Amino acid sequence: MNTLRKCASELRTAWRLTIEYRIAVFIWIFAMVLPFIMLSAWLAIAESGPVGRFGRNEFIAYYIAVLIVRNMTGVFIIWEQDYDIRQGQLSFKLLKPMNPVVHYLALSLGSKPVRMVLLTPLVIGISLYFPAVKFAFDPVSLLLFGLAMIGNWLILFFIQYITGLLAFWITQSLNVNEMWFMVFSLFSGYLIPLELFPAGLRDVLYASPFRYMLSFSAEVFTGQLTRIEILQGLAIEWFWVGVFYVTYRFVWWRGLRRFSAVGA
Amino acid sequence: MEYRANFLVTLLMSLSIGLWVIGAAIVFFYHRNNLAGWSFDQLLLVSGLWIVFSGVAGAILSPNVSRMVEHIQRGTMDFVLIKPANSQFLATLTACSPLKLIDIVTGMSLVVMGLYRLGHWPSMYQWASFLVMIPAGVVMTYAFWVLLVTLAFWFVRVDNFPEIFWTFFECGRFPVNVYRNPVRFLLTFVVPVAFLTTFPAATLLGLISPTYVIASVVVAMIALFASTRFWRYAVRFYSSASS
Repeated sequence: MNTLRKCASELRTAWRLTIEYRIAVFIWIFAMVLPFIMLSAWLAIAESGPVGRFGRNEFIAYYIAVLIVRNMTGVFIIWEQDYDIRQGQLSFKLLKPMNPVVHYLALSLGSKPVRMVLLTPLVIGISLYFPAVKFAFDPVSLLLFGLAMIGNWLILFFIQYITGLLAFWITQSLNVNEMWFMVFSLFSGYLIPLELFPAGLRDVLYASPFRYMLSFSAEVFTGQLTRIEILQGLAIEWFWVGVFYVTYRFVWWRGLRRFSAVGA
Repeated sequence: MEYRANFLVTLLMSLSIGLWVIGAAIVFFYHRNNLAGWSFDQLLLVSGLWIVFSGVAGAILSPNVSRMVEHIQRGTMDFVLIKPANSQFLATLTACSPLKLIDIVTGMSLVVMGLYRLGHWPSMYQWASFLVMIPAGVVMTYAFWVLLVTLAFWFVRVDNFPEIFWTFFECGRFPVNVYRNPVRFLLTFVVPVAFLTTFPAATLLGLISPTYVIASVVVAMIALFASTRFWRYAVRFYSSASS
């Protein structure tokens, strides 16, 4: 019960920050324009005929799904984390009766309700305006979509958190994160649907954790997978959540020892 | 240069951006051989110019904006305003992250690579036009940043106005004829991103007449004039931290 109350209080703080800096949050949401740009490029290409199974409507459905998944699963805590570790502020967080990771988890969730509120009318609007654009709206699919997104978010969170923890050893963790983002955007399906990669590379990416960092959730929402495939995917996804969680625990343990050693 | 790790990483990142842009283009062109009438090599020019401008913006504009926003938030903006030099110049052009200028080299390498693969070397006239359009583009970018920075006077708690620039600038990755009409108009005449990447590339490729340079210069001058007026207006109404 005590743990729950601590988590709730962190979440409340994160929510209040979102409200307080609402214009900044709104700008962050507006700034996520890359899916629209890629969509424009693909639509220009698709004018001369579909690309694989992707015609106009399929591209629109895919990139709207990408927009939603990226907004709901995106993690942006590394800047504060890097500052905390390198400026010693982490000491204050360590004094609290809980693992600092809870603070960052809550921070990462702070703007999600706002994003959901802004995106839901967009999706409904697109569905009504372009009736040929199909999403999987039935309750069971939406539930599975939710589960997929939670796992997706956790994978991205742990990867970014581990990158941030590198600040215990190096000064360049923010730049590492930038480079990671480039790799992520190309291989997770953010820039380009994984289906449209050349065949060999496509198979490798489908088997890798990259698929579960965005593409899998988008595939669920656009109704591309059968129930069995979704359940299989969820199992693999949560396996990767476990892998990254264990890695984070290890890096945290080693990093904390080093942090104490520097006399903070 | 003191921070060698930083230098190496910035270099690595610049190369990574180049590779990333090429990688994405390869996947596109795996399926079709043109993007809104532009071939792979022609697209390299646009992408290269995009990298050049992102380097310039990151090196010169970004550090200034962060400092300026900090000044306003901490109330030390007054110290900037009372100095006997032009406050706009002090606030917007004195900080610099020179390492990011490596992007200019990476970007121009892509441009040259594209031209080489096409076997097309632009005429003197086209190069001259290009060499005027680029600074004109820099001026337009600067004007837009001044506009955003000026907004910080009113929206004090917002420190991510630069994101608005990056949002529009992202659209410059692709030639402007990829976009359909209301957006294309917006990107050409309202937030003239088309003048940064599409038109200079098109000039070098001979796709448009070099006289577009006149339009570039005109737009740059209008942008600079408008943004300077806006800055002066903001400073006049600035209620400083102490008075």
